[in-house]
Amino acid sequence: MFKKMLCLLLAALMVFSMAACSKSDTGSKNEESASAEIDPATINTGKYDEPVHLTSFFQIATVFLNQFSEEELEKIYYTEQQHEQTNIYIDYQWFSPATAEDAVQKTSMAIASGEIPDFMIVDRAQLALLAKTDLINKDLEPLWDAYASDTIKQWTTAEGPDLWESLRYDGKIIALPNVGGSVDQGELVWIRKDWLDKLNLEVPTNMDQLHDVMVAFKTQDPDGNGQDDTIGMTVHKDIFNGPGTGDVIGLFNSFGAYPNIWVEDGNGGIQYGSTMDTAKDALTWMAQAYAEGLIEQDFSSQDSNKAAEASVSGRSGVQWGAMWNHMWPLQSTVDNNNEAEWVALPLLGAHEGDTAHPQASIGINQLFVISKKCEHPEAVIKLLNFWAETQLLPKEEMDKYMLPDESGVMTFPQHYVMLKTWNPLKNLEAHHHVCEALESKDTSKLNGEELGYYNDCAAFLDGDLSKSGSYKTFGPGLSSYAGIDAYFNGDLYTYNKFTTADTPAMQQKMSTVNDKIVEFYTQVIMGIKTLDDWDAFMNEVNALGLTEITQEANDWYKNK
Amino acid sequence: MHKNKIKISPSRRVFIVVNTILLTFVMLASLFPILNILALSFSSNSAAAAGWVTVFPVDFTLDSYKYILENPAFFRAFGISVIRVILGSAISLSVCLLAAYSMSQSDLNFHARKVYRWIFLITMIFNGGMIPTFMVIKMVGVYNTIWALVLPTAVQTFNIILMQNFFRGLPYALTESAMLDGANHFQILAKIILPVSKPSLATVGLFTIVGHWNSWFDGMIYMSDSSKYPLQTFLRNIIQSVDTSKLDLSTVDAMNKISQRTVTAAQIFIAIIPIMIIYPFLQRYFITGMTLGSVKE
Amino acid sequence: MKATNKKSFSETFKKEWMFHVMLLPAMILLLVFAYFPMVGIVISFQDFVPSGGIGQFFHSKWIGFKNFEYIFGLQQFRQVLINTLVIAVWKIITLIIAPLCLALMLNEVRQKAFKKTVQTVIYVPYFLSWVILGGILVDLLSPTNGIVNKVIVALGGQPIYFLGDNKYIRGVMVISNIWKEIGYNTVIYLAALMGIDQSLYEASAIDGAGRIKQLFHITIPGIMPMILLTTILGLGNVLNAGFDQVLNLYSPITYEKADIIDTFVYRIGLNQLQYSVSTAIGLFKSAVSFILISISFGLAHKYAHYEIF
Repeated sequence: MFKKMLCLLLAALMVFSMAACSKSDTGSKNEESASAEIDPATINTGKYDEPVHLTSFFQIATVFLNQFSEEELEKIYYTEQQHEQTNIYIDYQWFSPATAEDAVQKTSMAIASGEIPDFMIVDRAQLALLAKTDLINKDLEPLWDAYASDTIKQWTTAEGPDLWESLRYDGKIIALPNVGGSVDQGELVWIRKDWLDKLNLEVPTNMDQLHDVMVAFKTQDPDGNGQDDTIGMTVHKDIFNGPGTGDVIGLFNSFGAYPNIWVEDGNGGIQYGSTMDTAKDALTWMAQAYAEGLIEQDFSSQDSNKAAEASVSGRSGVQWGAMWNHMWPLQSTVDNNNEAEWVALPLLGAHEGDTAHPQASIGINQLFVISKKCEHPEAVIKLLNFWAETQLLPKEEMDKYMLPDESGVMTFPQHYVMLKTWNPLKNLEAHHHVCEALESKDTSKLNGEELGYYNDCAAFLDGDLSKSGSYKTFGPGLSSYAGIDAYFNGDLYTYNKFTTADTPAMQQKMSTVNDKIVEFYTQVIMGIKTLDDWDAFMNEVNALGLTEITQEANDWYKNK
Repeated sequence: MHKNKIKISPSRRVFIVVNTILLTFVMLASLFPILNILALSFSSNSAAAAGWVTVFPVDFTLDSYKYILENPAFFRAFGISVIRVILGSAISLSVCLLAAYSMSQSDLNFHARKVYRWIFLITMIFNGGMIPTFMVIKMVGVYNTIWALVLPTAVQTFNIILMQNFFRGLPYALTESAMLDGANHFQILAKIILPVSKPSLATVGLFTIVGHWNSWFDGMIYMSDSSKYPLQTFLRNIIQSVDTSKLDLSTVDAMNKISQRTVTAAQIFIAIIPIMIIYPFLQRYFITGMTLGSVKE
Repeated sequence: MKATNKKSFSETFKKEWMFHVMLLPAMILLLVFAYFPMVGIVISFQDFVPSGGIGQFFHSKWIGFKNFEYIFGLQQFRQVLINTLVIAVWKIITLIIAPLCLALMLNEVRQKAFKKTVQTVIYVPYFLSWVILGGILVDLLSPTNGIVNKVIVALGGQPIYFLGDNKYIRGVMVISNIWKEIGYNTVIYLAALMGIDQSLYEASAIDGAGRIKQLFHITIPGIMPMILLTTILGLGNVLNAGFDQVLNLYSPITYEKADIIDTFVYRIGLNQLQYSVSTAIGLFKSAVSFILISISFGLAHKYAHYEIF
């Protein structure tokens, strides 16, 4: 169906562009040369003899806004080395903050006006539109096979073939990935250890116990201020916007429901994880918590920042969230109150003896597309190779690249680089290396990034509480990566089974369906509706398009 | 000025008291947000993140202001906004003045007036949307220059209406003798109308200044370089809330420093100051500047 | 007949060419930055796929009214349209009445310093974005520790979850909109008020007219043109109910009453990249405004003999 539409569209496009005696003839030659097999003799993965110039857009990471300067970008060692080792120069057409309103908008404008640079970063929606146009190079596979280094080939396949499948449109790969780890996506339960200790409670091991802990947090004045001002857990209104801070995806995972992703239905097909029957158990649990006042009564109008205030100010002692939650926002709790101690628990099973399965999707941070008019599309891949090489340099070499960040700590200048990709297991490995080094006091095996974490951990152990973020994330004990290590080694992840581009019905109707789901779930949690309305609700979302979407998803899944 | 020696009746007295109380309440309601922002700007970051700050600073500190002073980007953006306001208001006022004078003529004196009226009105209602406008800006060659911020919005139909009505309210005798002396319309506009148009220019000027000072979207899409952003575009990028589901280690690490609501608050506060200074000066012209609606005979 | 027309035309032009010259700068600017981009409206009748250059607006496939059919066929569109109209109309009405009342109240104040202070201060919220004001409102209206609910409880009431209750959400939108925008309109009315000829008041005082009588016989008629102008121009916004505000104040449980066209379109991702559909929505909104404004122009002209422009 989709293919048919696409063909029709392309045909129409061709007719129109021909009829209007189009000016874009120059592009078609490139396409032929790109899709043809590449003659091995012409492959040169090394330095260009002549300087090659690529145009692109520069997205300034929001956290980096205050530090970034264009002059600095020209001067840094990384840029210098890039010129020296590859002879590739990048001319950025704009420099803009990487926010949804700014850089994303600007990129969309560039696409809509049909003037894109040689390469650029896009998101999924933009890629879907580009797939319909004639603007980008739509067959990157031969190039990748010929030019990509073994390192980046390994990084981009480390988590299975699904990653590349998701970049295929009409059978051809049209974008390159900036890989992030899917293991990093597993949510954790963050809990106030000092409150547990103070109230003489055990660390909970299932959701029933956690409920009791939350009741104690609410009623037994864990902060000892003599006022009934504490609540059980932190939640914000976008309950399924995660992995973030204060969403409840992890909570639903505990009950075997998988919001926003597609999981096997047991009959050889896939089903939408947001509306599985198991979601009812999670809702029952939350509705009870809400009724008992364990959840903020107006959570449904609080965004994540607002909701985080409860955790930060020491009114709430439990929240679900990503592995970085202690770095932000929970670190502020400790800054406000030195007694406070948050720890990360792996997701708890629903009842005694149950195991929770955290959810994860393909780990792609960003997508790179290459313009059809780009004369050296392989240069983009060479730059990715160059980036990967720098990541594997020995420490002394790597040190030359390091720059001080805002607080003076030396870090790799990753925010100055647009073309980059990661080893998906980087953070988990960092955890192991840091823990080993803390044990042995031998830091020689640590790379620059890991050494930074190690130094923070050591400072924390010496009593510097402002550095607790690294310890709670990468350190031993009840840390984020101790939990994620358990997920990874225990093979506990439930992966998103829908790994391709959105189907037409998804593009049109998914957000409406998701709106309805969140609306109904919020109402159930708040006691406005009950689970007696479940069947009516399911009929409604099915009519809104879930049936059609599920059908299309399964058509794809079964023909895979 | 007003020497009111008439006795104040008891009911009038009650009215005055109630009126004052109500107005004070309205004033407090309007002040609350800015007091909150001011208090935030003087509070510590962790206190702000905990939501403890209302109208008094918690853990008083000047860190936010120190931080801003050290950050040249803020002042650069501030400067660009000032230039934009001056340039933009000058252009917009001139264009509108000329247009309004013509439009203030009666249909008998200016036969094509009705056509122009519709040309103006249609632009108030219809627009081509973002992409074509963007493409035009690029084609005309003003992309990434200050002109992209001042030219597209220079013609403001609402302001032309205000001015036109002001001109129509001027005594006919003012221009009549000049007409008889054979002065042309340019001369009349420059020598007779302009000198008495201060109130109208001040009123329309305020709207133009406020409009330019407040707008952020055009700065964002028409400036390719974030170092050329005007102040509100600059602020927009630091104020808008971060989508937490898109954070990763490399970005979250600095969230503590960047998500500083305190610094943001200080910047918002500084951004309002210029308008608060200009406003009272322009305010006194409003009485005459806002003569509105000529009833057609 | 034709000849005289021609003659009068050239004569007219001789007399009036200066007006055309004076309008030239405005016309050039409008032509380039307003009328030329309107070419892009055609994509609301296409399945637009970008291909580059201004010619791209004519290269995509023409699909007639399919985009409009798609919008009106969306399940929630009816409800969203109703929400938009209700919220917008209330906003238009309140932004006439509230600033008018405030201006009248201010007009009665005799201490100049107090008057000026109030006048300046009420303008302040206008300069704060809804992201900021939204955050402050969530605090103020919190059912557990918001100041509004503390007052309600102190007066013996039950706390109300204003932002989470479909009964109240539109009220919150309308009232908080007054809070932010009141300063701007008050300035306009205040100026109009002060423009009323003071001798009229003196004359009527001699006739023994009370203040209430003066209000209805002098003040209100005196600023009627202003009220008409803001109303007519307000009608142009009848389908713009305030995107930024709603986005910052609504939530899934209040979509039913608070979701407006702009937020709905934004949420389903149309604004992002489905250019044809979002242009179609823009055209629909403009067309409705156009009709309403034209009608109100005509009515004002016919019944009040008033022409604003």
